[in-house]
Amino acid sequence: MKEKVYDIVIIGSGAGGGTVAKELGALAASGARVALLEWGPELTAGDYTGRELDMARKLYVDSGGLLTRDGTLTLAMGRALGGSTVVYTGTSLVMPERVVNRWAVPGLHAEDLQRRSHKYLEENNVHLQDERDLNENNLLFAQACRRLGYGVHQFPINVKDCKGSSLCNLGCPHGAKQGTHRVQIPEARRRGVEVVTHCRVTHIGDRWCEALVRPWGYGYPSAWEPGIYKVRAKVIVVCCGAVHSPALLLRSRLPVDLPALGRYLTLHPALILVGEHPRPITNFYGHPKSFYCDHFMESHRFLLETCMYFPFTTAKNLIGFGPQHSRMMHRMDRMQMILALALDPALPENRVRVDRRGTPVVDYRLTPPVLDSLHEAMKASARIFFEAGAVRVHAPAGRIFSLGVECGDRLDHWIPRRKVQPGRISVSSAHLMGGCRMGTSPSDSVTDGWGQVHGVPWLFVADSSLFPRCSEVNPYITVMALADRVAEGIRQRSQELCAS
Amino acid sequence: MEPLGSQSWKRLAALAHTLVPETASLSAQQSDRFRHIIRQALMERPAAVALQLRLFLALVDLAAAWRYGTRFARLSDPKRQRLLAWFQDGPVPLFRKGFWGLKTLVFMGYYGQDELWPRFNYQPVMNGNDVLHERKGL
Repeated sequence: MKEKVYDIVIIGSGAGGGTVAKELGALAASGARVALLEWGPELTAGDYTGRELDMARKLYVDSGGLLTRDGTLTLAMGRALGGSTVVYTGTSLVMPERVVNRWAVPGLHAEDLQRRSHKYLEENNVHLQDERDLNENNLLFAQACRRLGYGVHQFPINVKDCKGSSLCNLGCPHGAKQGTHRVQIPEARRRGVEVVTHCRVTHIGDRWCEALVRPWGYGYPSAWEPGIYKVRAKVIVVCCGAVHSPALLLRSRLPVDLPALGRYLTLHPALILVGEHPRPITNFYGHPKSFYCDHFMESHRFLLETCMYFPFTTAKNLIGFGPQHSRMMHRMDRMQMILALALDPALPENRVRVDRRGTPVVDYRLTPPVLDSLHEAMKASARIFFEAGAVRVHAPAGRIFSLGVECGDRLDHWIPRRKVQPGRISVSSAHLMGGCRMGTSPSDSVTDGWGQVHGVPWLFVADSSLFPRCSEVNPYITVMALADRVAEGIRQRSQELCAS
Repeated sequence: MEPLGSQSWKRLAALAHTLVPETASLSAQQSDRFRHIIRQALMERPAAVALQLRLFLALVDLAAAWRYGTRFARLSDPKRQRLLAWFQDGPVPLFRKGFWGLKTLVFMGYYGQDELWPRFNYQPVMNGNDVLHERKGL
């Protein structure tokens, strides 16, 4: 086993790890040895082919098809330099104050998070797109919501020179999206942070971690030769996301008992809903996600967003098969799409475990209130589709494959609640949160409000696993704000931490 | 190792024709790609997944024999659809899960072929804004 020695090691390079790396770059610039270890590769420009299966394999854990243990939910997690910031759409929302208050983490205040969030809005070039760049898939949604009296807003997004390929979720082929691989990690490198890709940390010991470097066969080569490494560090920051951060800590021999570790996972369980227009609309030209409707957040606990997915992803999310399914799928140019996200509660039984081989296992149950939210979301989306001019709507829990306009007056009949059952509808998640939640007591949390693991002064967490509840909005800006805060705490204590 | 034997491939092809009727008229090259995509997806997953698929394919044939007295491949289209709808919506969670896995693989094999995207009227371009502006008359 080879050995490496650092002052600070950051594990994971997504919204959390990339931010921590940049923020600790000041320490690297003044002589501290800082390394950023990333499981995935750093893709070259030529690796971004825009081909659905090829990019899913290159950029997502399990090609984006990781299932919860009972098989009722698909989980999408990025795996590349930049983590999930390579595969999101760049929608950049600041978490509302009421959600920070619901989190109720002592010492974590809304104004602190909002100040840090705005720092990253600026750093990532977040802005509203010009109306000329908005396609019909998005505009029809916004217009219909307004006519129905539903609150609708344009998404601020973090792009530069977006060419509108609509391939955001397959990695931007133009490098327009300002993820950590474009903004924070290059800055960290300039300040002297060493970046090591193709490097998977398997477990953590007392101020060391074990890492396996194994090339993926694409992307730039790793800075380290293939092999197993023991990496010593005075400070370790875990930023592997809501599944792999708790899994890594569960595999490790931590000197503390943390009963909340892996628990309180929330997912924003999501449905892809499709309406069919009588004519082709512009849907796969331009940015895919421009508007969201927050009208039902408090009353029915769901959020609606525009979206446009790729053929295989769309096909597997439509319920049914055969000629009807095929007919709809062969009219993708007429499709309007809505992503409905349920705002799920943080429950201790929804959790990440590891099996005997150390592989993460996700136990997550769609509770009746969450299914109620998804049911209401299907009906609201159907209203929006019909109002927008769609002639057919596919509701996953519909009595028939596609509902015609005549069904619009009796949606409760045509989309019965009893058909909204786990395993009968296709539910997915790209907003994975919790598992290392912040708090004050080791009995019901894993870290303090500054991301330090309770009872382990050299071990920190800085990613979405810190969330004590769901964020109720797209989470990446909040992840960056929290990572900024964790990095600040480490910087302030760096002399003490790095001297030990 | 080959994840599916020839018998399983035949069963899968018959099911695919019901799930996605267009798979019955794929060219030889497209059929090869269909099989290649499924084979690769299975080989990237634990061997148990391929075993579960083989068992599920056999189970569908057994169900066809029990309900209609013959193999799935010999059933009429309406009977095939009724049988698969039972797996999809039936009361046994394990069967629903198996059907979901099968359907996902077949859809991956067909809709995952980006050479076929024009058939679905799905044709994104790298400079999508240019097309958008043109359509808007800008």
